[in-house]
Amino acid sequence: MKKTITTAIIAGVAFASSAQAQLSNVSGGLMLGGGYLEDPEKAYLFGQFRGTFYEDDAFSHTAFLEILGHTDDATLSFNTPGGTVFEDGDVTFINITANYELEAKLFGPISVYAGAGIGAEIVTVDDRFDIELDSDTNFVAQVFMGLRADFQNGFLMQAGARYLMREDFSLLGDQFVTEDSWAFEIGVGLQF
Amino acid sequence: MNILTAIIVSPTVRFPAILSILVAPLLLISCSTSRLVDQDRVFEPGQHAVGSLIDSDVLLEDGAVLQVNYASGNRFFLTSGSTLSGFLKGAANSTIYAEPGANYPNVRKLNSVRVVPAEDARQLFQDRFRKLLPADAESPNPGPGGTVVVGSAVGYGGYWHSGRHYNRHHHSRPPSRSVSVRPDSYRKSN
Repeated sequence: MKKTITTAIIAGVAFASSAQAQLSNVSGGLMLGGGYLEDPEKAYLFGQFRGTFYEDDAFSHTAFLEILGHTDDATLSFNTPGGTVFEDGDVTFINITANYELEAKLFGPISVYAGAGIGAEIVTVDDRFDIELDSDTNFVAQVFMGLRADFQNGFLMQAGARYLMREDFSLLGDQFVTEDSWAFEIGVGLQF
Repeated sequence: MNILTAIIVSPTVRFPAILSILVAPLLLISCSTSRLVDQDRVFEPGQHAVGSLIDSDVLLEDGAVLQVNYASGNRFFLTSGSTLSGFLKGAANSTIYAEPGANYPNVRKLNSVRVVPAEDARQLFQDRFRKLLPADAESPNPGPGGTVVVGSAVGYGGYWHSGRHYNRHHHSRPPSRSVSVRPDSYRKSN
């Protein structure tokens, strides 16, 4: 037992030491982009706060926090004693996910990236005065891949695809169906 | 609007005729006048408006001024610092939800207009369609400093039509959901 504990401690220290050496290559970055979600046929925007925690000549490992959003028009029905009143409203979907990405360098500035992430989708419905009537929070997961051009000055450009897996959501007492869907996107970023 | 009043009450004030012709339309334009029927409206801070309202819900933000000529079947949600004035042509079947610091007319002589103290007029306006009275609810009147439930004015066959307080005699069926949403791109699950 004592030998096992000692071995584990030595292994942990060794790992921490190597991780420390790798962490000296940490760099940050920002990425902004947009794309098109096949279902429900909506455009979206995204922003990423990136941290590359390991990088060598062949690979880089990055973790990033991403905020992705899209909206949908909606019709609100108000049941009043005088009858049903219809108004325009908006449903907003905000995905906040934590992601891991592996990037493999191909040739020149071109590399291929792939990764996955999980997080939450916050769905809100607003009336025509932009007053929130209801909201719901659900689980969301994604996998993604694409091609990236990484220029010397830290400027990045990428094009890729992602597969988004979303839970159904509920607003004002009704349950609505979401479909897992492919999305295609482009982005520009800065690495520092 | 204040300048126009000054001209009316001070006959000794004289303007050149050409100046009056130029100024009068500008004064009229500066005060938006409208008639709101069965609509909801939010008056932003600093916004001034004049009009008549029928069957409408109105939220006045801090600094907004609304002069009402005639009002019937309305709910006014007044935040602190907002001003509701007028009822020059009368008012009926209306409720004023007023935060402390809100300005509103003296409605003591208007039997069918009541003032209900509110802690958060903005929240009440937001919830105006969401909360319904339970089937056996009493007519609410919390008194000064009390917190108001918006559902007290949504009514079910009692308030809007007769102008009286909530009439439980008409409330013989269970209340249903007051608002629902239908997104354009998502279908309901069965």
